[in-house]
Amino acid sequence: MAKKGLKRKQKTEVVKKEDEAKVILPLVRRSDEPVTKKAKWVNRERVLVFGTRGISFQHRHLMKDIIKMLPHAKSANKMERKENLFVVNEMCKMSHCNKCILFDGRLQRDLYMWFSNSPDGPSIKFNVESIFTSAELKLTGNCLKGSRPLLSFDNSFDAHPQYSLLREMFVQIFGVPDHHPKSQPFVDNVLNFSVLDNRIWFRNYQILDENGAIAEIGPRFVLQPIRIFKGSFCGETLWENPFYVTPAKTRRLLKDSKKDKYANNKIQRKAKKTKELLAPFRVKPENEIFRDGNVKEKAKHLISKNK
Amino acid sequence: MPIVMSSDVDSEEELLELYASGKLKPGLNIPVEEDKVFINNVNGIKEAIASFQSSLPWSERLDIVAEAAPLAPELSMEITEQQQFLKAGKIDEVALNDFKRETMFHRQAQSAVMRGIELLRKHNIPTHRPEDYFAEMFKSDEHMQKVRHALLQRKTALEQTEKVRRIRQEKKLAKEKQVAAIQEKHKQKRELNENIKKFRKGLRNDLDFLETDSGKKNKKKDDGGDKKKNLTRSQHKRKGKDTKYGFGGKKRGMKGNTTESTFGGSGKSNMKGKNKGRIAKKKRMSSKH
Repeated sequence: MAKKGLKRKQKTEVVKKEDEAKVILPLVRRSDEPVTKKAKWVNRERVLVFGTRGISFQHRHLMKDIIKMLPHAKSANKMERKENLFVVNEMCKMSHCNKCILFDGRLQRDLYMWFSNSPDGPSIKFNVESIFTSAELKLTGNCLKGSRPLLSFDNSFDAHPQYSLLREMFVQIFGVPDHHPKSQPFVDNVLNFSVLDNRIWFRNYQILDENGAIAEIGPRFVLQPIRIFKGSFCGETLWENPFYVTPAKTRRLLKDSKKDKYANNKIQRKAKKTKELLAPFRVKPENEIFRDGNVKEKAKHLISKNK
Repeated sequence: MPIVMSSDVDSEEELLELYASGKLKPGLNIPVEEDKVFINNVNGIKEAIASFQSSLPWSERLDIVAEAAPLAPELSMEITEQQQFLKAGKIDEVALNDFKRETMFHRQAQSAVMRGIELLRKHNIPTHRPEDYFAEMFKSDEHMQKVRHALLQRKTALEQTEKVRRIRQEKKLAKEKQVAAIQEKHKQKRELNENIKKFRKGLRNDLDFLETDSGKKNKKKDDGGDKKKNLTRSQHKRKGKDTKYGFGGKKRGMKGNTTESTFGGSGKSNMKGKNKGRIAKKKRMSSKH
């Protein structure tokens, strides 16, 4: 199958070469001068995608999906939690990557994602919520592996500076370079980023036809930005999300809301019982006057009632 | 009012001092946490964007800022409602409702595609994959098979439930019809009885009701006669046997002889099926003489 793709590419190149042949070459050329190639693959972006120990199976599957989507991605071994995150810059340098996506898992429960521009920043930390990998979603869409996606952004990516920074980062990371050897020459899917509820929702759609018919492919996930740092995994904080609540805190709040259920129930039952017990004594309104004060007002009320 | 302490531990002297100056009042004092200031360095962000922004042409980036695509007019009312929710800050209404949220994303992607296709054509980037171009897909064939199977299963399940519901409905209707028919029969009988009573008491002089009824019955019988002609041979035979031997009722002593069968009735019926002697021989003998 790959061979077929290659053949096609060669054909197109032949056509292009004919066009190039019209360019007039210099009359004299030194024999040891290296031939200048016209590089088509200009955008030499490479993304290192890897995780730390502590990511769950689902997070790993999501990582695999992203690696599959990005032909310019490189994977690496899981990182030990003990290591300083600053080491990631070294790793990127070693594997010739200038962008990095780090899946930082905690206790196989919470997932944080780092998007970083490797040697000199900026970097962004996200909390990832409601993850659905493409395998667990039964969606009908499908696209070529490694085809170049359109990147669709919401209006609010232009409105706020922090989001426009995120947009630039997403474009550079998720945009597949033109003429990348592992990429396909057709554009047949859209990556949709939209901002809702202070979060960024990621969706992947297949382009069915040119009139705007689309079918979802997956995966789905929601990124909640936490902080933007000036450097890569270091530096001063440029922006902080005021709406961010840590997953541990949300869990605690959820638990706290259920805390008093039993006690409240007990109190209510007791109150009901005493009310029932006292009911026979509350038959006579005359007796009711002397209960807990305000005798005069109650008497007035009674008289007005009798009238 | 927040009171700034020199240390976390409240020393007696400090408290006394505060009390003397009137900052501390008797009663329960709750420490007030300072509001956290969230960093938002807009200039810094802009600088950061400028520092790493790529200068590549659009054909390398393929990014589009898109607003949600317009929908069919019958659905547009729902959408305006959605936008109203968003404008009113009721984000949860959209964010927590799966359908509303997904349609929003879907429409955004749609408009992005419609604009993107134009731009791609301008840049001579192919969007349509030829039929004979095969390559590895994002999702495996195995997975797509699973998806197809799941879809089919859902469809069949739906059909099954639909069928069961239809049958149940039909049964219900049939029962209603039956009950209605029985009630009609009872009503007719009641009316007839009432009329007879009235006639007996002398409240009624004519017996028209009987005639109409009998007329109806005769008509019914005629219908039966018509039906008789249409009977198949076996059905005809069965009917004959039923009239002869009876249908249902007492089975005992049916086959035994009765006085009528032995003595009464026409000879023809009695002689039916019995050997009447060799006629041919008599004929033969007579012809000899």
